[in-house]
Amino acid sequence: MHTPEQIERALEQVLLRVERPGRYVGGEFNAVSKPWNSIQVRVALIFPDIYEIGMPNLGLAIFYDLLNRQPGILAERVYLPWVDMEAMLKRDGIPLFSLETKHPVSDFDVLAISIPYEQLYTNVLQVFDLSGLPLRSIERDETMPIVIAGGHACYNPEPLADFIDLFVIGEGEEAIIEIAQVVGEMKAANLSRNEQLARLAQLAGVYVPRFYEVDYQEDGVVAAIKPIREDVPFPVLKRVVPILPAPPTRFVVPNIDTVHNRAPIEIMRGCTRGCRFCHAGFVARPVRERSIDEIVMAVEDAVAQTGFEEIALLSLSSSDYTDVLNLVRTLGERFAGQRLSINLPSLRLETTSVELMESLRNNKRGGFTFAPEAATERMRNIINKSMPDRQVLEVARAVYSKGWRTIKLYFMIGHPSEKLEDVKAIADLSLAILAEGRNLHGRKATVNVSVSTFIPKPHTPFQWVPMDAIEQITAKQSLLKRELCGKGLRVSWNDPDETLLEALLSRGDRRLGSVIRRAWELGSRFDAWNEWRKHDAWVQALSEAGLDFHHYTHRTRPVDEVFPWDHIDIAVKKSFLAQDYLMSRRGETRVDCREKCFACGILPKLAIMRSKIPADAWKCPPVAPKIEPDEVSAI
Amino acid sequence: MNRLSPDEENAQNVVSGTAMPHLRYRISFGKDGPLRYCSHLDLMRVWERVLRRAGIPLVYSQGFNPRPKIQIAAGLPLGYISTCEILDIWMENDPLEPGSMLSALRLAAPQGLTINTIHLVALSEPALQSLTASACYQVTAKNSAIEPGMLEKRVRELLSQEHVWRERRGKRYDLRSLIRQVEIMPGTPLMLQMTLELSPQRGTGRPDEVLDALEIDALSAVVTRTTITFEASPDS
Repeated sequence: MHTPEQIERALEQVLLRVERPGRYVGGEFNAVSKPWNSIQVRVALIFPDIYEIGMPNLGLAIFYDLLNRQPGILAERVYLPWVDMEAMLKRDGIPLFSLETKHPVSDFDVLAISIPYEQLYTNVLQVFDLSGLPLRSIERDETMPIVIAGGHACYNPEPLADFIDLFVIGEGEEAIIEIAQVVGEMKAANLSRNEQLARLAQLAGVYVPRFYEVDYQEDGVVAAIKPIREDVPFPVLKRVVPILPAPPTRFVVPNIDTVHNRAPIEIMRGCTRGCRFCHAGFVARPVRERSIDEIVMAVEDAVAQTGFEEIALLSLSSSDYTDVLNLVRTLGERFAGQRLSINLPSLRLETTSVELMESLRNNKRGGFTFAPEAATERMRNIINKSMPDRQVLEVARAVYSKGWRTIKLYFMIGHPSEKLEDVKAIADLSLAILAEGRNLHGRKATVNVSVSTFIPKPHTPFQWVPMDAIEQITAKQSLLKRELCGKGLRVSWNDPDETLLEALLSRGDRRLGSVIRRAWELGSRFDAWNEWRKHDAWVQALSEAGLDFHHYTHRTRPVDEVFPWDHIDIAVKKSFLAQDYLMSRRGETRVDCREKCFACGILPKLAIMRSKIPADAWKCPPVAPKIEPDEVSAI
Repeated sequence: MNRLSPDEENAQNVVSGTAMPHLRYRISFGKDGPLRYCSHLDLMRVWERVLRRAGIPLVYSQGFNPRPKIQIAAGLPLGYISTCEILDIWMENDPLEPGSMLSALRLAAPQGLTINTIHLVALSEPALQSLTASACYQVTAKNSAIEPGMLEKRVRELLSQEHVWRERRGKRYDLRSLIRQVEIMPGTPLMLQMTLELSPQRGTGRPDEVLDALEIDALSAVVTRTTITFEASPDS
């Protein structure tokens, strides 16, 4: 047992011996320390990577704000130590601790772990290990904290099913408060861990993996997923807030540099574009916008409360915000001359975007970012992100002529139907854009090209598609590296091993639990960090479990395959995704579903919720008569 | 091009936001607690945010990447505590009295940042960094097993030498020439007080280098900067 005082004293001996000790001390402006002993339910909000990565995370900032507003609940932050500090903690027997009051993680009632991406899985085990807690859910008893997890990676919770007590599927704003309240009520009740979890499983959006079992076919494909208790939901429908609650504005202001030094204000959740590769575009439906008034007030409040020099207006696709021009004009006027930089990322490649950025009156040092994703019309149709070719250069010209010198472009390679000529077109387009810049700014013009690699994500129309062959990915990357070198060009790409690992983990089933554990035992952690990822450890861990990458990442699936995540209901129908997948094979596109409803399924699934809010709150148009093509009617 | 009258020029400056700085304030502050582990560079950013929260409109540099005009007298190494840091800020106008600025700054300061005083200084004064002469440090060596008698001997020896050649970041320099005074304070735990050069001409002495020369583990010592002395202090 360690007291906070013991931890503080032990820390003082090691802090000057590690890199950037400001990560481990807390005490930032707006950090909340509640009196530990007079609070009933204590929640540790854990981001399983280092402070600099975890601090800017908006999800945890929302929960920190919401939970600490509740009188009977406290929330404190926990991040993973970097490897130098990890060695010190182990050497001196210091357990993982919270930043606010330096309590050991194991002293909390609830550990809420945010898992936005799959490369954090081994870090989750690291959290348990450094906290002195058993790794597996069934090995932890009622004297230990209840471990909950959420975030975008948890729409396929199966790879972590062994380790997490319960997942919140979907949006956590309401669920996390309900969970904390139920945990508080159960404190005096002397229940077993199983009984506690059975009670929590009654809350909407809560998935307790131990109450479900999975059967596999001989070839390793899932045969069926079944609940083993009658009182748990099946399938588990994701949690959604019908209307976005007021955004947090009293952000904790770090004393050290972090990856994003800014106040994030979410202007809209969900997206109606339907880009077929985009996980967020399907799991985050429906669209919900905040009003201009609410956003302007939030920005004002955030600046006053934090002093941040930068505000980021976050959404999946800013250009689709209904009255976006009015929003940026209002903000631009309101904050003119205040030296505030207001970021509006995720703009569409169109001339209106230049006008939008002009209205915000920022300095133009940061460059202008677009994500065309593909450079040929054929590929754009396959991924459902259409735009006319000539438009791209027109927009580039407009951007450079308004004084920006840098254009950043996001492309994606590696869809199996992509050919080398589609990749060559990416290079040609980037060079043509640079030429536009050269005309106006000479050698000061730059184009940064960021090339990611396609991963067939769960819950998307591409969930049936295999990942591209590694040799193909390497050949495509080499082509780009060869074509795009020289002054004014910068290219970045993902290591194919990293993509392979992300594909494996995002498509994994429960059998990956032992693989993750073994890879961690072999030294894997910080898998999102190129210098720390140990590909050999994963290869060895898979082979020891009698599994391989190919089954998970490189098979073409029949349309009727049962996926490990099929019991997780994102409110979009599997038959809708299948229909969209088949359309992509024919090169057919769908327009923005604000214009025309394609019956994805969210309206019937969330009908009761929607009946209580204004009809236009989700931007869904009136529903067209339902037509199901024959080819997918079997699903 | 037509010349503008001073009034017109002023009006234009105001419109385009390029008005000349009107006021320069000097703030004395302390750095302790969690901020002890914040580097000099990070501290500058902390200050920018404190000033924005306090509603103090700073003057910005011109150009592609405008920066607020603030200066700190002398960077404090990460891990040191201070009671006496000095910061100059340039303000666009004068919305607040020094008294209300002081309370606004105190409200806006994070844990570990203590605002001691604030006062107006002449715009014409030279840059802060060029004004400093020396600094005093108090050192508490917590885990030191060294005998007081032995330490006294080492201090005497160090101060009696004409040169103490050392290397830091690959550069050879004379530590002795940067030491004005080292004194042992009575009592336990072991305490030292030292006055070191802090001068753009003569160089800057680092307490950890002195501790190292005295064979005291600098990483387990608590170092507090207690005074910064100016060359020819115009304000005192």
